[in-house]
Amino acid sequence: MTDQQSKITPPLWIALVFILLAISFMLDVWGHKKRYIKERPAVAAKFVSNETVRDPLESPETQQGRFVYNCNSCHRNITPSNDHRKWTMAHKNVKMDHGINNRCFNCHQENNREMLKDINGDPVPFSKSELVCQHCHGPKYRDWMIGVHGRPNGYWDKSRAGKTVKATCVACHDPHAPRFQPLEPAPAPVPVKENFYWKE
Amino acid sequence: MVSGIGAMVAALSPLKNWEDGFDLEEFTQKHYKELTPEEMAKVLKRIERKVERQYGVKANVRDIKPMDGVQFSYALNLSRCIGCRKCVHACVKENNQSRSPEIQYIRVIKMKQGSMDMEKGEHHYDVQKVPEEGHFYMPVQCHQCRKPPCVKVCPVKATWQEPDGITVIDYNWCIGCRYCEAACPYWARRFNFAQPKIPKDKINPEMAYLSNRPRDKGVMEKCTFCLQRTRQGRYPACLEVCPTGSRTFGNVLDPNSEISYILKNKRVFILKEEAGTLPRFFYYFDK
Repeated sequence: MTDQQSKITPPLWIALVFILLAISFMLDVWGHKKRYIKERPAVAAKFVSNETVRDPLESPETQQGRFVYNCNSCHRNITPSNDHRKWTMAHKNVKMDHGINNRCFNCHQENNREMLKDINGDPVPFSKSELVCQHCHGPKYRDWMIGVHGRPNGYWDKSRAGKTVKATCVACHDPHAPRFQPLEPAPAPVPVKENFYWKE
Repeated sequence: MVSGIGAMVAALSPLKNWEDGFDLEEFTQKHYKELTPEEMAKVLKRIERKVERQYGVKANVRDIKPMDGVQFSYALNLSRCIGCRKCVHACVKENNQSRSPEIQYIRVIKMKQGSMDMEKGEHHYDVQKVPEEGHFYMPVQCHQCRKPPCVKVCPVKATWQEPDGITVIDYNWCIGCRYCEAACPYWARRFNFAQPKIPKDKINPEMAYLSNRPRDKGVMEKCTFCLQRTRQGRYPACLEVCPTGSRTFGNVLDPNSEISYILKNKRVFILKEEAGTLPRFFYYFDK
């Protein structure tokens, strides 16, 4: 028995089919549809800004009409009243919603409106207003001092010389209506495949 | 033979659509762990030139090494998160992620209060105001697991975990097989299906080799805890933008850090504990 290795020669037409396929792929005859990417709209700048929700008052002043006044310029001449319904005319923008803490002079000095009052009656400047909040909200104040309540900005590595800024209470909480207000969310993400569409 | 050549030409026809020029140096670059400091300096210069060419932005690309005695951990207060998605977009801006197609490392999931059923969570909520009544919001990003399944499955070792806990990717070594994306239980990994498109004015020029330099089509990317910031002692971008301050980050080996306080005093939990990944990202509910 002789080992005849029979050469199996494919017929010539198979080679022609492959050459035609090659030419058709090179010339993009098949698969007309190309992939396009949908343009996503840019996100609004407010969604990437590090600003806190409120802009806390650094110094005591009020805007009435076009002018900004120091508090004592009016309150020098006004007798203090404990009835909070009376002040709404000049300070319309203040909404009172602090639970049972709705007496003005729990936090404000009757005789000097440019200072706040802590639990012992001592004056506290507006720039250190957290010293007023701490007397009733002790656990939150403790957490804030450690850095787990509120938001620090800067360095987790406290040995670095860089500045770490901790937002004060009123940078997020309106002192008269402290509950955190709902915000507008950024737009929803798209499913991955919806980034693309196929067209001729 | 003719049919063989024909088939080979047909198979190579997609090369017609090669977009960027061919850079031999980039193609033959060694793995990150094998690069000497001089070679690394050359690589960084080459990347800066490429960014200049593609985006017209003068970038500062550095190779930032991990800090000694530091292991990062992250905690998120679910009682405070309102689902505003500001962390998502701050991350996109900081880390030069593609805008079209859209890539976002962080995904905020809206869950029904009282339930931890992730399958009922909503990813694409689109409402006027958040938070909505009866729901809580859970942002998910790469947890930098202590037993990372993505590192285990990478066939080319393009991804590994650094000594400070961050799992990183060498974008020039990644072949784009997406095994890591399949292995991750949290869907932390994102793939570039197309050449990333970033508007020139939105590029963040402070870049690092392992994190936020612009990627190419066909490589994986993910959250790196902003290592270009955190390895220099700063907070990550998602923490600094959060309006409610629900995020806490730091060095868990430091007993006086904020993250240590959270892990010691709050009742933290992790996602998909049964997967055994031991993540470094903890969630908790607070009063």
